[in-house]
Amino acid sequence: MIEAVIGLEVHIELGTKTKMFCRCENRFGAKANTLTCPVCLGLPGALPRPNLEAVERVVRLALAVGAEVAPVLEFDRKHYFYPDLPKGYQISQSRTVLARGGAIQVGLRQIGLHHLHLEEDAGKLAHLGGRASVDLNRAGVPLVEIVSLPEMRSGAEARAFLEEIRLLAEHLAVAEVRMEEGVLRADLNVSVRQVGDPRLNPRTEVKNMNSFRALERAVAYEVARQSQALERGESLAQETRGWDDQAGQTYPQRRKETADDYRYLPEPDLPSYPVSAAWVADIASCLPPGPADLRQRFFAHGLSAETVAVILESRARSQLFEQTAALGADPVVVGQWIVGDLARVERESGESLADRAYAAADLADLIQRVATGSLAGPGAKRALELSYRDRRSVSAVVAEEGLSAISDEGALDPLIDQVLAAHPGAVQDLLAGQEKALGFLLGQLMRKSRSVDPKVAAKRIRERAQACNTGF
Amino acid sequence: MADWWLESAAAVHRSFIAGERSASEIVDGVLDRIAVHDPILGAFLEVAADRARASARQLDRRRLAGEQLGPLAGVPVALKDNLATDGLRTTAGSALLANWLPPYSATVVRRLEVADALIIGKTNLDEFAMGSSTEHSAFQRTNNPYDADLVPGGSSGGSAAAVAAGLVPLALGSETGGSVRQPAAYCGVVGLKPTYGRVSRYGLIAFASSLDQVGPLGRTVGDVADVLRVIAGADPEDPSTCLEPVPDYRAALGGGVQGWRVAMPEELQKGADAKLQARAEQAFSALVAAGARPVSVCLPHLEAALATYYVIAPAEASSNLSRFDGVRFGVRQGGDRELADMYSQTRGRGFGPEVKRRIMIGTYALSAGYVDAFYVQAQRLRQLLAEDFAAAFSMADILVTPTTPSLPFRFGAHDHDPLAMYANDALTLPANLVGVPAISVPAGLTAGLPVGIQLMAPAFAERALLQAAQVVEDHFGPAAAITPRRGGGQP
Repeated sequence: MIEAVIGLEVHIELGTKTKMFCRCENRFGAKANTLTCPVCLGLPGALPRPNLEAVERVVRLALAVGAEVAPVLEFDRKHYFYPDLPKGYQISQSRTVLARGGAIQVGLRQIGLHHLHLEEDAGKLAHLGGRASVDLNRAGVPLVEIVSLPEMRSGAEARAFLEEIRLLAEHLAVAEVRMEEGVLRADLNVSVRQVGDPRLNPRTEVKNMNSFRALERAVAYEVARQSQALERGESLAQETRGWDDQAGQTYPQRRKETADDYRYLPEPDLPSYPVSAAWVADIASCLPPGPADLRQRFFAHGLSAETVAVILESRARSQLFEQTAALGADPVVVGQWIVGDLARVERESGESLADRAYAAADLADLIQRVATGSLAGPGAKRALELSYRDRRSVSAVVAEEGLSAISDEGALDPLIDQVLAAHPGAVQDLLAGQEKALGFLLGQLMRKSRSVDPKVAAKRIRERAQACNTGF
Repeated sequence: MADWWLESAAAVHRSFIAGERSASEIVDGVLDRIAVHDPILGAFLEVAADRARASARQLDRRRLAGEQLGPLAGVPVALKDNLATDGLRTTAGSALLANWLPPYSATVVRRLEVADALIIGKTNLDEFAMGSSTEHSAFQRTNNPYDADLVPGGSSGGSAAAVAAGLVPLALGSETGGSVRQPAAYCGVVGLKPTYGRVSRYGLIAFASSLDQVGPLGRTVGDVADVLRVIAGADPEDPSTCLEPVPDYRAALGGGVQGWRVAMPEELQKGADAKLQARAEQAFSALVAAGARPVSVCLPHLEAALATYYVIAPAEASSNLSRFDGVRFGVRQGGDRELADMYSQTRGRGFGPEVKRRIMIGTYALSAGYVDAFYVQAQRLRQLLAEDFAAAFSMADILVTPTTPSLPFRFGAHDHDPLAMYANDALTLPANLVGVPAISVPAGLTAGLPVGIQLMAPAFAERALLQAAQVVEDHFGPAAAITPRRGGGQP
């Protein structure tokens, strides 16, 4: 039996306002080279100044995964030449990393972490018509690198690990992980061996995986490729491979003639900063709940696995869920609203909960109105949409838009009579005992008014139909 | 007024404030003297005449309007050309940067401007400040004003020569291993290396980050004290600067050294020319005569200092100079097809031989398998040296040494022996390695050439250092500006 041995090096761009070593804005999508200054351009004479907010974000993440935060903050230079690397070196950490150890729970297994460190991102190259251009807006953006131990055993597990890291970043406000912007990237290290064999075979490194699916597929591809090579009696070499998503294959990248030598140098432009235990304790004392805690709490409320997964996707959703439930609303119903209509409204309005706060009081009010029957299904959906989009309270929307459920017979009867008069055939069917006809008539009634309470209306349609019949 | 160029910066400032002469007259005088003498001297890489005239006119208007003016108002200052100046070409003496117009100014430059100093131009240096003779400039030769066949020292040779020749009363230089003090000694002016972290490095084109420090050159200790007060102090743009308060350095100058403990460490005399040792002893005696008490100290690890320096400085240089890749600034060469070709042509043709030598040494010292034997070991020695000096300064307030082991040498003297050139820094580089302040003060001439005496003090004790330097200056007399002479070997 062959097993896979998988380790990941995960990079997350921190969602700080400014870059790691200068005060340029940290923002995706600006015009090329507009978010730059002498420091992040690596101009002669410019010097780095560390961004404390970035350090704090990594400390939050470290505490959440149970890693040990170092008592000092020190940086090292990692040297290589590439046009997107302005200084010819990356300011990173190697001798002293910001945090060591820790673990992330994936399913039933704990995946150990080697360390977490802070570094700066490089710029981006664009190749156009045989010419290469460089955009340095991303140069100097703070990154946390999370290095796992080689403890994952399958593509699914590697994917789940990476997804859990995405959730950690989300819930600890480390970053807003937009995969399409490359905020989260992983380098995959994978080798195979006979189960029970403690030795490791040479591994393949697949760089820059930026989707969960690609990661899982790349593991599957590599495990198959390496196993087959071993079966054929070939020896494997440690190598770096690229991932071709279209072909679903990894491919060998040009082998370097010599081993990488990054010539690490303690960053002489920056002193060693003490990281006080009191400061770390302060951060720990107001650490937001991580995804594992939330998941447990959500399950305890009786939510389904699917619902929990959708709510956990976003910190804002999770907070809204907990706050609404705390106001006394039935948690299962709250979950249904968040996962169903609210998620739809978020999508349709193009404004996610993270962009605009939605008051738990409004959602609780909405659920309360439905429970008491003062708001019917379609009206409730409408009330949610309008209150979300227009930033109005549910009570204001219901009052101003006349969305209250019509449940008193005096108001219903004229509408029902119009429907029955327009569809005599259906009335006959209903009286003949065909229950389908009731649904049809109810539908016709709902088209006339959204605010009809369907339960009351169904009962009344039956009664009015009988009355009509006797009237003939 | 005809001999204004003999005056100290303080005197020029006073005359401007008193309305005896306008800033425009001062600038015109400086530009005329540069036009006459710099063709022989070669101190300036660029004279910013229009900019200086414009600043002077503005300053004159502000003075007439009765505005409060800065402590260096009306004083012409030259800048070593490794200090970034917004809109003024900054080359670091390298062909690679022959066309670089910085979009920002170094903190020290901005502070001089805020103090209303008049920036006159940029001075010559060894390429990227790597050298002790200014011979490694990619652009021109700078002569010693005392003898045009001799080097002015380096790497701040242009700044030292310009001040000595009376082209400007003040200049900024930079130090990594003695690049202010050694040329100051060779040209007979005062040169100060402040404590590491005393003056911002932001905008100083880095040679070796953990050793670099900007320092002033002038003809009097008082002038140097005034500049230090302007440029010193914490800078948010340079995290290695310290919050230590900046005192009024000049106010202390007359205080003498009564009761201070002074020492001449034997290890810092060894190998120096006998005449220079004798002159250092004279300076020492002057301090003792002024009431200081002689004590003895020893620096047991000093013999390792030169080797330590020549591991650490090139290692950091090899890293700092990685950014000169032709991508974003500077002179790009080659690379129409291949990236590697652009790197090798840009750097291969852009850097001079001395810079390449140090990049090679530094790259080697940092490479896998060697880093422990060289760089890490050198850092350990540096720590031992720091302990030596800490012990010495627990015994003595001021150390006295010759600034250089020898008098100014001839052009080309060390062309075939870079190690002999490196040995020139033996007495100055320990201060850089341990981060303490040191100053070179003129101590008269010998055989018609200037001699410099070095004083060293504990970290952030610049006030005491300058106070002691004033005693030495009083003893030997302040530096006189000298009109540069054409030498026999000068074409």
